[in-house]
Amino acid sequence: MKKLMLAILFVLPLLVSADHLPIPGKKPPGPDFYRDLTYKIRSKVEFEIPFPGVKSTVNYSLTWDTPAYEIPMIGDYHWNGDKDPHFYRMFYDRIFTKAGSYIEINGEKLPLTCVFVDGQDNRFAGGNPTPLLPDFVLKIYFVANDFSCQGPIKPGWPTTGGKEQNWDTYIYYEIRDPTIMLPTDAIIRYRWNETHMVLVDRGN
Amino acid sequence: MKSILSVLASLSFLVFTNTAVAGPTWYPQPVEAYKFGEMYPDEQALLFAFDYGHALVYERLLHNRGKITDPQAFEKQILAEVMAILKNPPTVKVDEDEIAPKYVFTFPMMVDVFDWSHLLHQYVLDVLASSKNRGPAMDARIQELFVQYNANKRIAITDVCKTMLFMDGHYFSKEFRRKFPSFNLLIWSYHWFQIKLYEALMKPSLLERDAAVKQVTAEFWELISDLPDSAYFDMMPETKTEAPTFFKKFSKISASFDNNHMLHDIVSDILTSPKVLEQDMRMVGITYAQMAMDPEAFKSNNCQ
Repeated sequence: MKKLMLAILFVLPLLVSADHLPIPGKKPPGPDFYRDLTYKIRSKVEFEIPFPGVKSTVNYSLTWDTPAYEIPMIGDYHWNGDKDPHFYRMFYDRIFTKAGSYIEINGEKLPLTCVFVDGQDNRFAGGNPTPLLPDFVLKIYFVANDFSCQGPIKPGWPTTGGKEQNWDTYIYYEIRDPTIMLPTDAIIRYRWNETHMVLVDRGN
Repeated sequence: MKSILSVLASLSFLVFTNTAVAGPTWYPQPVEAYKFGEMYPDEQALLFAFDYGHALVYERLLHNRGKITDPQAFEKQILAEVMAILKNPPTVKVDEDEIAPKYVFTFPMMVDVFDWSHLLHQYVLDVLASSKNRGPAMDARIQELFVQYNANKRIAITDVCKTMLFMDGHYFSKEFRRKFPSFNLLIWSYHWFQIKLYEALMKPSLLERDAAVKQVTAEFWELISDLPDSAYFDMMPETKTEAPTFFKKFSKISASFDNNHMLHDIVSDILTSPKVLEQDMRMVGITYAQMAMDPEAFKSNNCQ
């Protein structure tokens, strides 16, 4: 019973949507909006690892399969408790990719098994809108070799043994402008080694 | 009250969802997890040592592909190393990617599938060893774990039994046992030991179970005492023959375990056969892991 109560305390913020004081003129979207946003992520991107004398290319190609969650997980965080109508919204989604999706690193093809999205919607956070603060920030992981899309951290670790982190290989980038889903701050993790990458836009 | 119920309903959905996609980590762990080791520490340590037994040979085969000019000497050396581990086994479960990082990276789907299945192996042993109830409640608990296992559909081995052609009917088949007969018999002896433990733990009283486990362990050491002559297997040991009581009660779980054991042989053959090109190995591994999960692939009509 104690465990159940603790679970409720932790999970509750993720379950309750914005049924607090309404923000005049702004209605927060439902979970489908965030799922649709995820599906707009580019299905193919090419990067390179910039370093003199070394040509390293990295790219991925994906076809969406079924989501791991029926709907994306959403949690609203109010600045000053429930009396403040303003909040920022976190959302998470995990979607499987179809067989044939891959990450290619210098010619080595690895199975791209799922996409994990850790997103933030700032549009209801109040304050003056400024072009310097993005409405959305999407942190995206294109994960190789996680066939059940377990997630970045081993559930229950350390009691479940082994390493804390679960993914040894992935492409990560952030999107701050959802109009063209421009990848920024890209990183490749290959067998635990991480390095930064830049986008290669060949215009095709 | 209505809102509390709605929250609880949503919570149960989340719990279900997380279980269904829990990956190779079984979370939350069953309350019985690793109870077998508390009651039979020597046997549990042997099971942990088997992880080395499988992974070490896979890693060495990968690193030495195409370079093994004297298979007998290669086998002798690795047998000696593994025997030393079996005689001084670990008390902790070591991650496979620490023992065999190249193998784990080359066979990612196999590894997920094996990890998930090995957890079911372990927890079934844990329930059989520790359950006070030896009747329907214990059976139901094992079935409950099996339902959780199967819920992770993307990495669960099918419980539909397969013909031996699944193991032996491919262009690369039997290469491992031809080249490394002693090591192959060692791996079959591991599988025999696991199966026999299920049978031993089906005995009604604790005294009988303790005696049966002791007997199985003694027989295991006898089996591997002078390989290849000491092990009598002509074919991979199967649950139906080696653990008839367990098979009768849990035929689907038995089929799932046998399919797992066949998949181990398939990996050994993929790693050994020159017919599988190195650049194709990852894809071949994925294809055969998918076959192990596919209820229609090599389906046997002679299961019961």
